[in-house]
Amino acid sequence: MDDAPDNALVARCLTGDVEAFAPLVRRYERVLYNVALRMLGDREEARDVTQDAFLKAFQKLDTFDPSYRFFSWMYRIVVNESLNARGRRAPVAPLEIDLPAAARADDGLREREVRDRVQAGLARLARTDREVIVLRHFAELSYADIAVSLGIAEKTVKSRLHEARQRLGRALEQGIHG
Amino acid sequence: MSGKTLEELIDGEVEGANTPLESARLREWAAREPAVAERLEVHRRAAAALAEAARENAPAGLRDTVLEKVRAGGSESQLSPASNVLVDSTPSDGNWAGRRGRGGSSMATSRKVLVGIAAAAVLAIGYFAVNGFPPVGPGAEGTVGAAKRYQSEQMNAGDVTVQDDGVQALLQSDDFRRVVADKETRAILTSREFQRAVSDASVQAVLHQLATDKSFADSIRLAAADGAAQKLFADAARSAAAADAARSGAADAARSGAADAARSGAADAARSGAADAARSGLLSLASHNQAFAQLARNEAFAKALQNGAFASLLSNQSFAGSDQQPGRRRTALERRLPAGHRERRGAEGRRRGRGRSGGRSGRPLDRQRRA
Repeated sequence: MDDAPDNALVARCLTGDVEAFAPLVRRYERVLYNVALRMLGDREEARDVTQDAFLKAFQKLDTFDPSYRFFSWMYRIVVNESLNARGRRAPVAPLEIDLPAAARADDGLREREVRDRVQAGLARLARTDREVIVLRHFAELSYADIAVSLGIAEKTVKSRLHEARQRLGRALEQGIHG
Repeated sequence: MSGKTLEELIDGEVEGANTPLESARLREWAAREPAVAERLEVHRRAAAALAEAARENAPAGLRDTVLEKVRAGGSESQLSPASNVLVDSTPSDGNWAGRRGRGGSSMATSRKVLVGIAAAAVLAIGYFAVNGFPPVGPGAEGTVGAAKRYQSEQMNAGDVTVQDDGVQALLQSDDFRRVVADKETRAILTSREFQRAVSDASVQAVLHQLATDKSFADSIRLAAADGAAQKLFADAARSAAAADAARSGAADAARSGAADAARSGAADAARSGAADAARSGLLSLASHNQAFAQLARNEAFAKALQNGAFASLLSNQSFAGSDQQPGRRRTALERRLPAGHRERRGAEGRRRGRGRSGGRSGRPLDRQRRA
């Protein structure tokens, strides 16, 4: 069952086969968690958002349009939940970076530093910029899939990603020299 | 030499997608212009950092927690307290459905869904394509002619566009919503058999004919209103021996019997003939279309055919389309049909046009069209 296409698993869920949801969770928990983490910068929140997104998806499976990719649908739920979670924070609060504190003990120092720098850089970007970077570099989606996920043209994805990477590069530069 | 812009060359470089030639061109460019070199360096820095920031594993227990709650019913109360996902599931910059409705992908998706659902109608199509529609009630004479007229019509280049024109109305119809909300129908749409059937050129060609012929829509509407006919189609679909029987030549006999029954004019007899005809239509299609044969044996498919919403959708005007533009060239789909298939269908349509009503006026169908 683990090899079954997403839509086939969704169809099975819709017929009452709850276990068919397990491969979908296994397949996307990591990438969706990373999306939430990069959007929120908080592991606890990212975990809650990912968990809730899966539950919500399961409850709303009958609204899923099978002509779309399941991941794209899930991604939108996660992003939306991340934004909602951020909206619940204190007004104008900057994106919190708790990664060093929460980092696992076995994380290398350099790895943590890089992760923190990237997270800090992402936090400075506009949401639209952050989205394309997260989808391209953390979700490893193709341009076409990003376009579908965000509901924009592939050409727009490319130009937005170019600009976003440039801004991130400059943000990292400022982080180094600042 | 690559015709890529500077942006494309830079993106290709940091993503490792450039050819050696393109990389050399970019290096040359950077050597010539410090601004380009600086820009390239900024992108390299970002890409390197992103690549180095390894993806984290999902927290231990996340999956188990999700599955545990899903197995327990996945109710709203199980969501984290702060979550309002059930209240607002839409993207912040527009709702999910609205997003689909705005972009260029909307029509493509609509068509995909439309053609997908339409493929499930091949049972009915198989019947109509081979036998014409049986007279099942008042006004049936005109319906028979109309159903046969469909058989002799040529596809037109704008047919696909015609279908698109009706898509929005269809999507807004209650029928469509009911069908899409139907779990069994959705299961069919995502089944492998179904996907194979819709990807078959001959099935697609028949679907396009269905979707662009108003007279055929009228026939379908009658069929949808007739519970007996629906059941017959469904019964025929359930017949696991359909393909075998078709190969044995039983289809011809059934077709012949249906024609006689239809000519008798008696509703009961016609319904009986319709049973044979439906079966023979199915058999005929199944005999040269493996994908369809497999689909027809699908139990879920048979159930969906008995679904009232599905039948109602088939009768939807938007689904059937109404505009015809005479004199257009054949579509790509039609051109993909085997020549023998086209000729056989055309000849059969002309023969029926003469032998039976040929439409209300009794004139040959191609003349009616020109008139």
